[in-house]
Amino acid sequence: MLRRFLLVTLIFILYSSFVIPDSKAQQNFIFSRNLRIGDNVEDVKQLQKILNSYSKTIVSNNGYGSFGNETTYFGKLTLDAVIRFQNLYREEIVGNDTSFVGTGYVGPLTRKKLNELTTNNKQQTTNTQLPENQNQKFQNSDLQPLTNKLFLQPPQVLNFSKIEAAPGDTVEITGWYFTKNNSIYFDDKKIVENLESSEGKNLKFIVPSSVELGKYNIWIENERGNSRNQIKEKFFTVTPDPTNPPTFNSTSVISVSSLGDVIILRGDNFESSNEVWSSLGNLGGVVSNGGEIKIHLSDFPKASDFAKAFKYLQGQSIDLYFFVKNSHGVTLNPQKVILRIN
Amino acid sequence: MNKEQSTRKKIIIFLIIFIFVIPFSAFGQAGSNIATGIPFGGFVQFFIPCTCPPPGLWIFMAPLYPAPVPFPFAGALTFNLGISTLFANFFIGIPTTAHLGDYVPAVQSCWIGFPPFCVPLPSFGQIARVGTSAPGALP
Repeated sequence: MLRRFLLVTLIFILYSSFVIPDSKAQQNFIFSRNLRIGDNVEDVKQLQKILNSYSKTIVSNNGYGSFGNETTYFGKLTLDAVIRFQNLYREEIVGNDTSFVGTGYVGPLTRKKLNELTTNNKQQTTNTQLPENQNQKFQNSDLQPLTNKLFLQPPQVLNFSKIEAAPGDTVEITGWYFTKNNSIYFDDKKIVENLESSEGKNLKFIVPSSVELGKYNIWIENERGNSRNQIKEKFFTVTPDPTNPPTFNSTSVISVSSLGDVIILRGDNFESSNEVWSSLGNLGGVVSNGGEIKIHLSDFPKASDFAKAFKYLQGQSIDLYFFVKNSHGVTLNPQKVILRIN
Repeated sequence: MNKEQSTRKKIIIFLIIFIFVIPFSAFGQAGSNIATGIPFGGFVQFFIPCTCPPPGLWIFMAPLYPAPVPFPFAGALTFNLGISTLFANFFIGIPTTAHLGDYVPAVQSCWIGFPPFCVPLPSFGQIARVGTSAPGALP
């Protein structure tokens, strides 16, 4: 009797151990289109979720593509994970063809296996056999915009390569969640459409000659949403005589030996009053003669906290980074300052 | 000890192994989805908020022991909400606390400023997982 009880318990534990982790992978999503490297669609995100559900096919251990950070972009990491998936389920995907090696292309056979893993009832299994166009219809149902709104991050703008430009100038936008099909708006007017971002982080566009001179708020729209409410002000100026953002003249490193030392930041397009952002905090109202900014490290708000660490750092060098921001924009690359602690 | 007792003993040992080992290995499998990196330990001196997305903290630590650097050092690591995993005591970035965890080198994920004037503040890397002490641990 006891032996039977123990046996049943053992079977239950074994069953739970294997079945419970798998149940996490069931996400009730139907893969209805083929996927390949370079694709940037919602199906890729679902694919990454499935791949991340199995320890042997994890897309990435951290950053984009990792568990909880799945993206819509089918890049190299996804490709590698799909190849591992195909090799893992080779028999179920291609049968007894032992010569098959994963290709990374998610075609009908791989989709069938993915759908088997994601569906948990007969009805859903039937959906996988629908003609592709019917599945597409299901995908593009009225619920899709709501789903996007709830689960997808809209595009976000970090910076512009310039905020003053003449018609015909090229401007680069850095940000997150750009897709293969972005539109750029100047206030309420769509200026550029079908603009592609290969990595999802950068967009390049040319200011059309049709744009009137003036100040605009520029925002991005794609299938994930828009960045319209992210920036409220009209920050971008179209002018025949634009001024470039501030830049540092040299890439050489500045060395100092004490927090009391003055550092000199040399560059172009500094204004009479600037902000300096740094590893020691931010400082406003920093004066410049146009080509130089002289500043005491001890003036920065975190300098005193930083000084407390000196007792651990005798004889070592610490890298500090500085940026200058004014009405023409911000230095996109930092000036490095090495502080040698004696 | 008769044969039945021997079998019963074997089954019990087998069961104990499954009860204690399988759950942990299953947890470990789920846990393997959590990002892992290179170990570090350090004491927080101050932090700078990452005001642009993704939100987080640029945490300056001294002394900092970032593997594979073989001696006490100083520098910053970035903790990103929703990306880095935080464990007890949850005092992330608070000065005088000790932080112990792992990080992914060369991932620049702290942007300061405000859109559309965000710039990346360099750090050693991005914290993958970290546990913290209570404040006051700074030696």
